[in-house]
Order: sequence, then structure tokens, then C-alpha cells
Amino acid sequence: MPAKKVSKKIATSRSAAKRAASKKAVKQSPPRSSKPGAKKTARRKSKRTAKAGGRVVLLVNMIPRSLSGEANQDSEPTIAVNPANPLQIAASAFTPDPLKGSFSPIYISSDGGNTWTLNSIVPGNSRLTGTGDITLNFSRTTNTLFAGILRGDSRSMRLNILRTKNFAGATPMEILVDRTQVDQPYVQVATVANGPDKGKDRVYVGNNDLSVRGATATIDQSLNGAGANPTFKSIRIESRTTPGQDGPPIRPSIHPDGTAYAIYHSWRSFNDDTGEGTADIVVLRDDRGGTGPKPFTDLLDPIDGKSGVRVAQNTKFNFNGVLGQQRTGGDVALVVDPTNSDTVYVAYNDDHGALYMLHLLRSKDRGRTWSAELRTIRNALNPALAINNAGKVGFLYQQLTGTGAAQRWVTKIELSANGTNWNALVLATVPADTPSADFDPYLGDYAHLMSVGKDFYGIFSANNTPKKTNFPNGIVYQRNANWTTNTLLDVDNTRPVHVSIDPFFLKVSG
Amino acid sequence: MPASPSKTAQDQKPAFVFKGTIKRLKSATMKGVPVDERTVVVTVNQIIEAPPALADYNGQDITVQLGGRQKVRVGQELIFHTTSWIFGDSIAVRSLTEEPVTYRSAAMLSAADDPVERRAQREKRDRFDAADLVVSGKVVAVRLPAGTAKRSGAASLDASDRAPGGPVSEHDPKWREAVIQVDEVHKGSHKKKQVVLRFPASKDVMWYGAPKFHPGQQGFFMLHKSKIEKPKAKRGRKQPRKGVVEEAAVADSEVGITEAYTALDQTDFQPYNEPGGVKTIIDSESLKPKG
Repeated sequence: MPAKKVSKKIATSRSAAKRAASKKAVKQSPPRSSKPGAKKTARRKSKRTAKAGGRVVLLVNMIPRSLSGEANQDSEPTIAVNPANPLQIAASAFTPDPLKGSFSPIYISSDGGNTWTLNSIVPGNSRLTGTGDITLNFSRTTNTLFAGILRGDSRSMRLNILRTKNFAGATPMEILVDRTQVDQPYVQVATVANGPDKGKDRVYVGNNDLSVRGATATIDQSLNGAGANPTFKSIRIESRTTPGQDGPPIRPSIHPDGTAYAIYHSWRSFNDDTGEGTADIVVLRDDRGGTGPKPFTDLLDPIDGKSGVRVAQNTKFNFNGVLGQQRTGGDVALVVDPTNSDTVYVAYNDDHGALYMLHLLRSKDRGRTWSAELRTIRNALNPALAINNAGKVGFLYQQLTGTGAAQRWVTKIELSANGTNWNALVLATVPADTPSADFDPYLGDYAHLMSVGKDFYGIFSANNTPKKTNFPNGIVYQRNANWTTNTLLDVDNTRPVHVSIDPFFLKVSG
Repeated sequence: MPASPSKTAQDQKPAFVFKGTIKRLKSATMKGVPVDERTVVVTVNQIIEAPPALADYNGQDITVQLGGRQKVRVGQELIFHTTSWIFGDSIAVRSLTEEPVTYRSAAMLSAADDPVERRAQREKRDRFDAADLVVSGKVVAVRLPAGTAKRSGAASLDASDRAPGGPVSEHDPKWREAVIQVDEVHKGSHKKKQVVLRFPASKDVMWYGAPKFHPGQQGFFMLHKSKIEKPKAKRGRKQPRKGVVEEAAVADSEVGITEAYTALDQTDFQPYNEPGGVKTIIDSESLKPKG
């Protein structure tokens, strides 16, 4: 197929007024690339991959070149690598359709994350922010991409569970479930390896279903998500009394042998006046993938005997809290070791005075007992966990460092073969006070990490200033930028563009 | 439970309308575009209506996935009514319809309007047509809706808008009411001197772009009657039993419904000192023959 690169002079931005302001702000320091002959150095200045600590690191700013003029707050990213073909990757963020059409875009790559394009196939676009909350996951064998979203064209927390067999095609994703008053859908897919259901895709969508009261922590589950007319059932997983609801994050993680885990923020108290509350960090397990009559009840707490072990009790959170410009409220993450379903890692946040602490723990006995803290990190959030096919753990998070105007968001991935010794790589260190937030969440209520084979794939959102020292392990930009003047450039490679929040793809060899 | 069939491309409105010449068949302007017999490269000759992202595409080659079954040939000039598809090093759009350049379309093509402004004006026109009430006036007060929870010791406008004991979400709108002193009614019927609209004070992504009102603002307000879903307080209701499995239902939420005027789109409020827009629409409406 012949592919001709065209030179464009488009200008994309949220509004003409904002764009004018952006130009004015950046105009004071005209980029060198505005001079003739400077275009050759304006983009893709960095090497495509870098080696750090013996590992190959690929970090890519995912905004395509044809959208170099955009200044959106592309926060809250997620990623899904196709296990059947790791060259195929889908990702998402709060990115609006560039033409303000009816469908929101996903980011797609067909070359292992080296290059990215937008494909608008997600129903329900908000003209300013694209889709609402969204997560993605592939079938292990059928190339089917599933998504759980809150539609961007609804103000009723309208959940859609979606799928497509061709994520790079033009056909919009198919709607499987449609209902309202649901928060933070988090989709995971497992393909049955053996037995009569071999080959079927089991789809698990953790969500906080606020249409019910009390036990709002829910997993919507289909035992044949790729089938002709898949049926989803809502499994209420809370076993204890709540102050009326649970917290937003409910995160399943599925082992290929069928063992299904989930972690959630089980609220114990909540003060409506202050936003402060307490929560237990609860881990559930189902040894048959949720197929039995009492799904997700195979793990009992040794103290109260109820379903779900309380890894930590009465942790403090503040639903109105902030860290830098990012809101807080209690993050959780869980991953099961693909080489051994007995081993599980969890991460969670809580408030310690003015600090927002991130904790990492491990169980080696299917969630029954838990280690002391393996890592405790101050003022860090958006934890994401993955374990590769050698049992190596990846731990991604974003930490606020420094004080005052010197504060920075530092995004790190830590790797460990044993859970004791950790090697950290700084992926990005960027100013925390710019740009100003357009809306909440500033970076996202989550980032994402996963593994396929030995490699780790992840995504996070951050300030997009093109400055080498901000990305100490290397960076590739698709959008136009001048790395000498540290200026983003429009599609004409000349007009300056204001700094904004962009999604960044990462791949780290295990 | 399977929901209604997916919305198809044919249900969409065109976002990028242009006159173009077909340059290559079964071809694309960038890698990654799945090419079939309906994929063509088109040179954009004249943009008729566009969002800002594509405002400067005159003279550029782009990829078009043709919509209809009409046979096309290289060199053929058509008007393409398109929507989004793929954005990479180049762009690819989906054509909803293609039409020949005719005498009838000449007027549209000869109009000197800015294509971006033309589209923006169409969007405002759509909002005007959909509005139940359009007034000009001044915001004289902002307050909490009656019956909402107030935080002890906090400034009243920081208070939650939830019913006591209602569910908490980061997407809560934090509804407020703006009282507008009406200067003139331009559409719809309203006889009182004041009208009240609800607006979200929330900074959450779900409410981004919705106008936030404050006392003293003056201008045009396009108001829409909206059913505001408000979860009911249900303290004391027994929570679902652990492990209970329920069929996922479509729109099965137990919510209270309040009907109120809202102005949730960023175009729903236009200050007096901003030219064009609603002013132009109102002027054109007043020129229409009555009856």
C-alpha cells in the first residue's frame, strides 16, 4: 500500500480563544525551528529506545503528528496489548474526537507501540473530552478487544460494555451492556484454556454500581464474552456493612488457570461534610473463575469469617483530597503471578496526616496471609502492577516530589525478581504546576501496566514539555517539537503550541 | 443483556464537508489504514464546513473511506460529507455521503464564510433549535438547590448537593442554581421576571465545558428542560446479599427525577459583548414573517 506523507498546516486546539492564548504565551520565545531548514531536527530527535540498567526502554508520546496542535488534557490512560499478537496495542485517555463527532477515539498501534494513531470507534463522544472513564482488554486468543466505558455523551454515569473484533477497523464497537449510575468500569478478560469451555472469553468488569445501596462493589461477568449474544451478570461482592456504598475502584485480575482475584476499597465510614472516611482493603478470590453459585467467596477473612480478606483495615482517605493538582481518594491495584496463581501482589493508598502513602504487599498463599510492606512510598499514586512470564514484578506509580514551585510529578517503574530487591527507572520527571488543570482528574484516577511474555507495557499521562532531561531514559515524540527550545510545534512545524497533558506509552524489557 | 444495536456511522452528522478530487483508488495517505475497494485518496479543493483541526487542509491529500455504493473514478470531483476515522501522520475520514458538484451546490461553495465559523454557527443553531427557552438577562444570584445537604461550618456553595445519605461519586455534578433577571424572552414562553437554571459546579471531567455562572454575568441563555437524575436516599434499605447474582439491566437505576432548566453546553451562554452567535440567530428569527 503506498503511503504518502503530506505536509499539513492544520491547527487543532480546544477552542480558538484558548489557542490564541496559547500562542501568546509561547510567542515570547520563538522556536528556532521557525527558521528555514530547521524542520529536519524538529521531531523524533531522540533515539527510539534506550538501555537502562541492562533493560531496553521505549517511551513514546502518543499524540499523532497530524494532531500536533492539540492542547487537550489527555489524562486517565489505559492500555491493552493483544496477547495473541503483541504488535497490536490499544490504548485510551480523555482524548476527544478531533472532528467532534459521535464516537470517541482509542489509540492504536500495530507495530508494538512504536507508532500510534487515533481510531474513533467508541460510542458516546464528549466534544471536549472524548469518552468518560474507560479501560480496555484483549481476549487472549480471539483478537477481540473489550472495553468498559462511561459514555462521554451522558451525564448519568452510563456504563457501556463494548467489544470489537477489529480494533483498527472503521466499524464502531458493539454495545453489550448499557445502564446508568455506574462508576469506574475496569475490564479484564481471560480465555478458558481447558475443559468444555475451552476457548471462551470470560469477561470481568469491576465497577462501583451506585444504582444499588450498601453493597455497591460489583463485578459484571460474562462467561462467553465473544459469543453471539453474551449475557452479563452483576455480582455484588461486598460482604460487610458499608456507610451506604464502597469506593470507586474494583479491580479484578485473572490467572490463566481460572483463578480470579479482585481487590476493592471497602468503605467502613464516610463523613459527608468533610469527605473523610475509612476503608478496608479487601481481596477476594474465586477458584473457578466465578462460575459457581457463590462467586468470589473462596477467600474468607480469618477474623470475621466473611468473604474477602482484609489486607488492611480502617485505612484513611479523603474523597476531597488532592496531591498537587491530582485528586486523591484511595487507589488500589492487584496482580496475580501468571507463573503461580498462589502469588498475588497488591498496592493501595491511604492518608497519613498530610501524606498520601502508597503501600505494596504480597501473598504467597492465595491471599490468606500477607507480607509486611515490601515498598512504602510517600506522596505517590496511580499504582499499576504486572508480573511477567518469569515471575518478575513491575510496579508503576506517579510520585509528587519537591515543594512549592519546584514540585514535580515523577513517574517510575520499579522491577523486582523477588519482591525484596527493587530497581527503579525514572520514566518522566515533569513540573507539577504546569499546565493548570482544566478538569479533574489532572493525571487520571489510574495509570496502567501489564505484561505479555517477558515484556512490560504501560501507559501514564504527564506534562508534555519536550525536554530531554524530563525523560532520563529516552523519549520519542510523534507530534512536532523543537528539543532545543523545548517547544511544542503545530502541524506546520512552526507555530508554537502550549504545553498540556499527554499520554505516554512505555515498554520495558523484563 | 445485549443492548440495542450499535449506532452506525450512518446515524452520524457530518463533521467535515469539502469539495475534493479523487486522486487514487484503493489507496491511503498513511500506513495503518485498512485499504479496501472503497478507500481512496482525495485532494481537498475547498472546505465547506470543518472543525478547527481541519481548517487548513485546503490543497492537501487525505484518505477517504467512501460511504455509498456509488462508483467513482480518478479525477472525479465530489462533495464529501465526512466524519472521523484515523489520525496519524496524515488523516483518514469516513464519508457518510458523496454528492456531485451541481448548480444547486454552487451557492454553498461560493459562500465566503469561514468553514470553522460556519460549523460553529450550525452548532449554535442546533442548540438554539433544541432550547426550550432562550432569554437575555443577568445572573443576580447563585445558590444551592433547596433540600440539599449543607456542610456544617463550610461556605454554603462548597456544600454537597447530594440528598442526605445519597451515594458519593467523583462525578457528582454539585448542582447549583443561578437566578436570572430576564431582560427579554427570545424563544419559548416565560412570563415571570426571573428564571432559575441549574448548573454543575463540579470540576470533574464529566462536567467540563458546562458554563459555571456567577452573579453579574450578562448575556444570552439557551435553556433546556432537563431531567436531572438524583439518587434517592435509601438509608435502612437492606443491602444486596453477598454473592447474589443479578441480571445486568438497561437503565435499571433507582433514581429520583427532577425537571429543571439547564445550560450544559459551552455554547448555551453567550455574553452580550461577544459578537455573532446567538445574536445573529435571534436577529434572523425576528426577520422571519410571523404567523
